[in-house]
Amino acid sequence: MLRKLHKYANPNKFSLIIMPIKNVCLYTALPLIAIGLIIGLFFSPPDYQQGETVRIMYIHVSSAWISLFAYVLIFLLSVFYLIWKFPLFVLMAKEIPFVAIIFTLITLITGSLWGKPTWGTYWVWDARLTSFLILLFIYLGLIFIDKAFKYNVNGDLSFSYLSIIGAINIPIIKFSVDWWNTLHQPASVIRASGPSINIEMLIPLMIMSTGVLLLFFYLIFTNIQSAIAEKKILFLSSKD
Amino acid sequence: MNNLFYIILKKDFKDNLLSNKAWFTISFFLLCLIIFPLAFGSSQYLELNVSISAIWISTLFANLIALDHMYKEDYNDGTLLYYIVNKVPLVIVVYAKCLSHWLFSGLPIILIAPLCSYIFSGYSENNLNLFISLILATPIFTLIGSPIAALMLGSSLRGAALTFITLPFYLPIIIFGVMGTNINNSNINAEFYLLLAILSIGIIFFPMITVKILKSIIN
Amino acid sequence: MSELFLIFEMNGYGFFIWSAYGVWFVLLILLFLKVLLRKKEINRKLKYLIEKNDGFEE
Repeated sequence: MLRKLHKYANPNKFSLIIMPIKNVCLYTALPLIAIGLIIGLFFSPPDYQQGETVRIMYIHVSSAWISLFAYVLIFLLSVFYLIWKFPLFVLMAKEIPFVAIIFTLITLITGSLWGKPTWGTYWVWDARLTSFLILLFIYLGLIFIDKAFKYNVNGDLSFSYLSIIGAINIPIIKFSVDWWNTLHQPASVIRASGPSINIEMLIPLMIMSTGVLLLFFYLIFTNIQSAIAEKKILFLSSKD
Repeated sequence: MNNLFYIILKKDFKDNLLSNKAWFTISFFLLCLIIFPLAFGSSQYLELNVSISAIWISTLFANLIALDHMYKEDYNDGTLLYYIVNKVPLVIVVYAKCLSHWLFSGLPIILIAPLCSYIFSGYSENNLNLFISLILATPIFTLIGSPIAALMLGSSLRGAALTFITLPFYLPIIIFGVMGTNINNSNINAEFYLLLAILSIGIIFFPMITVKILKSIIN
Repeated sequence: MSELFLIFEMNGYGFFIWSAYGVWFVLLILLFLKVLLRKKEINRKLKYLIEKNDGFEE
């Protein structure tokens, strides 16, 4: 199995392989997001408790899932890099933080705009909000360590070890609403006893999340291609 | 094995004492602490909440500053390379480093903090809580800092980057520590148990990672 | 006209909902532009370097 995957580990070939996947991602993501926006904004019913403000959920929850998923992705790619030492893995992992940081920012800003009408404040120092803020700073640290080790062999190792140390934060974020009784509402979609959310709200949420996930993959793949090209430029310009 | 541990610990001790680094952390702590009454601008006692947060902030920054020279000198003068070439188990080196670092940057702060709290706020009933939560939190600071200090060994802009990257990892400890210090009814001590849990996981986990990092960075 | 206004007002919560969607849209567009500009810049540089090396790529 691994031996078969070996031939895809060549960055040049990988760059050619992800080309069609990337385009498919983009051209399915945009219609999905458009459909999700229209259903979410105009056709989905208002919540019986939160009223119309529940419409912010469709962008807030989808970006929150993406920003957590991105960290899991970085963590797995770093572990694979440390085990099998394919430089391609860490090259992929290094492109994720910048995209993920935007989704984390979106989550925090839309979350505080949702919090004002429902809780009465833009921000509380609550377990989930604080741990999400810490996630933002961990992403910043990952970007910073990548920049600090530019043109240094140890950079790849440092990046992957730091992402492994930072992974402790992920279960804390996911379960903070269940462990502490906070202002933030508990998880209503991904939980053991099935989703507790109304089906008419679940459909636009799912459409939206799939669309944003595909968009995220498109951005990551484009960045990976740029990074591979950057490596090529470094090689070509060091030759003369 | 034990013998080796004592030898390395003694060497670190001597290095720390001779190079005046021993007094650096604690004097930075006191200096940082003095800022708070000055910044409040009144000659009265500080509020209890303010004095607790002043002590925690000063502890945090003193530990961050001290972190920079945890492995730096030994890396620069080749002592770490010497250990690896002579097949000294790096686990022992890392544990000895952590212990000596804590003895010089954690222990003085723990001892002096209740006194500072009393001087600043004139209130001494929560001193036991402050003492216990500092005893639990400062070793965690040292343990979390050690892999990150090892990571930054090869980088050119070490000091600023190290502070920036380590700070987010210290934040949960600060949160639980301050919650533990603020307890009014001392029946429920959930924060202390949580800190203790983090400490007992961290004392295995972080030195293990540090050993891996040191090995891969030096080779 | 007033019906349209009612839809956009969202029972008085219009400001929060529309500003949340606005922030979302603006940040995503900025991210998109950043990624595409980086790609364009790098491709331009790569083309120049390959031409300089007589079309020899590998």
